[in-house]
Amino acid sequence: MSHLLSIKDLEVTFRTAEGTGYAVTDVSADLKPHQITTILGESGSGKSVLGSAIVQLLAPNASAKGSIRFQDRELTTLSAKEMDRIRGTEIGWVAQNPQSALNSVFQIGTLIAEGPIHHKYITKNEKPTFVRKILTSLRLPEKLDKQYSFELSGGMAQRVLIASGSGMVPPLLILDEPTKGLDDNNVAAVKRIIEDLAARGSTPLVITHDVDLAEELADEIWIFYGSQLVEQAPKEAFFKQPLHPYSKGLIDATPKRGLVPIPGESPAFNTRPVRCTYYPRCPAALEICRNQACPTVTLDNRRVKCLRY
Amino acid sequence: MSQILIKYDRVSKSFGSPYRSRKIPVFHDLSLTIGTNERIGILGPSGCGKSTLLRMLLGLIPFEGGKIFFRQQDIKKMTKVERKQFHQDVQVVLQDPLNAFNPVWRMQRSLLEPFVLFPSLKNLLQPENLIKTQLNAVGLEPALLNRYPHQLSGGQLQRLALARALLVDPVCLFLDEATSMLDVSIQAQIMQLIKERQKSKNMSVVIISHDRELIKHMCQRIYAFKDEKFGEIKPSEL
Repeated sequence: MSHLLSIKDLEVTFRTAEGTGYAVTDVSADLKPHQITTILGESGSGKSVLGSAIVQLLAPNASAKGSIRFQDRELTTLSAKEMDRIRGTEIGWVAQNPQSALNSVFQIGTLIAEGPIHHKYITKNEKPTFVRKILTSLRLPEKLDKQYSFELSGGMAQRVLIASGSGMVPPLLILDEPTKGLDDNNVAAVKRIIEDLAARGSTPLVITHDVDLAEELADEIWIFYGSQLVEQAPKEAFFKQPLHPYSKGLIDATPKRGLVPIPGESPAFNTRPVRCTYYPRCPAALEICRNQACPTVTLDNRRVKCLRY
Repeated sequence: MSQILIKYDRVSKSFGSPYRSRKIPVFHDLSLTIGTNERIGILGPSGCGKSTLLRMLLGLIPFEGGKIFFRQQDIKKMTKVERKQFHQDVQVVLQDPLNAFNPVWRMQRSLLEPFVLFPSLKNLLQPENLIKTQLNAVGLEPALLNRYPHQLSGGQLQRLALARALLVDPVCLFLDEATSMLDVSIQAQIMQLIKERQKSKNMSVVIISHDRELIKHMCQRIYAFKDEKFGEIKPSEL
């Protein structure tokens, strides 16, 4: 299967007052088209930074090294103008936290149509029909187009945010924490929308910390821990037998599987990590994990970054 | 059989708005009991009134019908001194820990606040040592006390909020969606800590959440808002 997106040796660092922070290190992955991929990991593990790096929306104090290829184009070397043409039309981005991502002084209809008008996907005259169509497809009331984001509940605002990012049905759609803080009914609604978008030809890349959502939604799971991509596997195989010790810890920590805590704290890096970042918390750590670099190995259709394999 | 600690007796609540002539009912004739040394779950979707229940108990919003009792005393008829003791005995950890701390205070000052507020704790010598012991219990380094809220992660802040709530030895601890924004591994750490503490200190714990799996795993008795009705349900009905 050809790849929609290929990431190779990606490293994202942030310059801060306390020095350089390493948010993403040594990440290589290929995204398969026409399936839902979910990136799972703790807060601060680097998963959202990876998403921002793909759409080239990193903060000004961040710098990225490595390669991100999307449909045979190298995104890291594109000019701002060329990237602007791709963003929204070919790579959709649904940011975290709808209440701060939606501009509260514009009506919902304007927010949904802003991107498509900018990219000449629709004309201004087509705006009402377009907005109505999008709202209906997301099972939202049509009259919502005249409302403002602060008038909406958390679940509705999240759906509107997805509408504004996915209006042009981009081949790749990155959604950052689309269900954070939502209740069961709203999570189910968002899940349905993502599945609908996948059926209409988009390839969703869902960044989340919700293990249950990943289990219900994903075809492929990527696990992030301490700035590194530690495991990639098809969903069934992953939940049947997680390979990386962190993946096991993550699954066991869910209420459904016993709420077993992982001892210790998530790491933050001021120097480039050389060994396994999970080593200090790992119950299955070996002596060699202490000082040996940890390569990613391929086993059948999965990849794992652990010296045990 | 545990004794009744908190009792909601046929409580009714509705919200009005200056733009609407009709009031919108949230619940009518709601009854609920919380016993000593119990872990209770309150389950329901967003907007059903879960947090309203807690706010009424704490006296943050008024309610129209019915009564709420704490240790058989009507909370509306408490004297000032009794109310202060009540606010010490019933502690709350809310959803967003960043809003729970003063952003311009270092954590040390925020955690010393209970010793300033509550009369029974005012004369304690060296509260700093108590704080350090409590931080140890929630698995945090005392060095964090010199930081400001924005310099800490969500998980660290929520554990600090929990430490502050536990500092005063409450008889009842409410967790209002306290872990819904956190990672599962941090949620598991916090829940294990609460379970241990509840058993060792004979504390009651009320978990308000929309996460049915969490409530099923943590709670001995469960109340749920379902189809505009509120009542106790069996864990098997979840």
